[in-house]
Amino acid sequence: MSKLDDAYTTKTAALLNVAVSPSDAARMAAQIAPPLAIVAAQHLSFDSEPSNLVRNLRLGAIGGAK
Amino acid sequence: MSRLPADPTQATLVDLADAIAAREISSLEIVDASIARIGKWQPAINAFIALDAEGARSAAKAADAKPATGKLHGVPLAHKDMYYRAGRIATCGSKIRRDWKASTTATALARLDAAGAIDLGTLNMAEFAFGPTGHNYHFGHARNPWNTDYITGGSSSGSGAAVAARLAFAALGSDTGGSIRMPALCNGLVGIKPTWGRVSRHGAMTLSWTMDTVGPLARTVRDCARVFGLVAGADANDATAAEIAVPDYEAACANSVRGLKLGIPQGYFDADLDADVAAAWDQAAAIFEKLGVTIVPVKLPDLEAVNASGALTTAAEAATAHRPWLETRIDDYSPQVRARMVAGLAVPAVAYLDAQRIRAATLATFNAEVFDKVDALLAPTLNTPIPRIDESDVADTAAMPALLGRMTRLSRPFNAMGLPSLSVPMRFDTNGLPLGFQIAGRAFEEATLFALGAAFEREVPFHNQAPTLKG
Repeated sequence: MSKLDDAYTTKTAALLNVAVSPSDAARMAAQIAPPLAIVAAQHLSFDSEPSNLVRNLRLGAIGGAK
Repeated sequence: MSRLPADPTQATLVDLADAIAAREISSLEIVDASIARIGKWQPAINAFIALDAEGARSAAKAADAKPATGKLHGVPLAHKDMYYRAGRIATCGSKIRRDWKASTTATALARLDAAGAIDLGTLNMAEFAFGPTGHNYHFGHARNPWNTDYITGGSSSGSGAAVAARLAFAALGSDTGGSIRMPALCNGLVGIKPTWGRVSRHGAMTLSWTMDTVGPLARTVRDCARVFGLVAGADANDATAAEIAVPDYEAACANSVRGLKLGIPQGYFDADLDADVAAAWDQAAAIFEKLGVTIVPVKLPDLEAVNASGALTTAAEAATAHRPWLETRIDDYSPQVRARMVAGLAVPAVAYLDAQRIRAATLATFNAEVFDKVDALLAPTLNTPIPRIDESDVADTAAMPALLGRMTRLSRPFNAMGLPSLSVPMRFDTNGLPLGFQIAGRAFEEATLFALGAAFEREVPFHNQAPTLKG
């Protein structure tokens, strides 16, 4: 059974002022649970930062990759 | 002697621009020919949302009255209906924006205007650019001009159909998870998904801020390079548009590719491949090898994680952008788009941020371990044959996540890493639909992709074939 259930998705949407139907809630879990599980299984370095995406693009552009 | 074919709508964009500049044909003549062709094809393929025949004819007359200075002087284009033009409706393929008029003009459109292009009107697209197939329940599905039973691909569905059917000489699309490359593949066109930050997104509808890119679809690599070179570059209105010099992409099309190293990914891209797609991949590699390109098998970092990160990122960012409408107008979305929009509300903040860290870390690994061995990667764009419209019409059923996931699996990793990728056509598949591949490269090195694509195209000139209207 998915860790992401319909009750969670319904309540999360309600927190954001969006009223979802029971079928919306089921579809939310079906779509988000698989990629969420993959991301949650990753073990990332303590020092890695989200903003490094742009930095790494620039590094590729200025020859850091060559 | 004229450089144009008897039917000038069949010319390449570059040849047409040269012919207009040389006064071999007027802009009004080609605009009228394009409008007449749209009248014949539109009922079959539904490529346009709004044709502005009067505006285009007026602009063509004005272009004919002055000397040609821009690189697209008098050339008729049309664009995905998510590029804002001040005072014009931009529906974004949606019911919610069916009557919404933009108050600003997209930088990409302004740059094409400055180059002298004529705007024929707005093109069909997936609702809010959130769908890879080309289905649209508000404006009707776009249909593939090679066989109208089949999808155009999306989300730039009208851009693919219109350019392939020779209704416009090029079209802007947008690519958040494959939305330029998918219609380029399905319609037998060249399409560039640029490096994130290469082209200004100002005045282009947002789907997912950190994944969205702007780029053209065209009939040839050089046509695509010309349009791309005009829209690329820094923009005071978009802080994310990189201040990195724009090379001459069109000139790059003539560069030798001998000695370049082209990687064949081992793993991920070769999983569950259709036999004909796999054969085409091998054939493309063999043609590049014949051109003097060195083919190098290359092991990739974990793309499952970066693909999942891209999916979570787009889900969360789209839900954030749309949250006010989800609160007040949720019933105005079509079922599939509604289902996908609300899904993003369930992404925990920590998972979203981890997704960004995965994207950054995977790109760093890619730069260090892949692009130290090869100049670009050769990969399929879609691992299955192009589906029919009816069989891929899954709406919000239980089949939806798997079908959409399969359609974006091979394209979205490059969005998640921000890397450029060029879609190039090569032949027909066993169903008679176009088949091609993508070449992905280093950040801001689109010129290398254009050089490789153009060299391939000289060997395999797919653009010499055009669809014919049945019935």
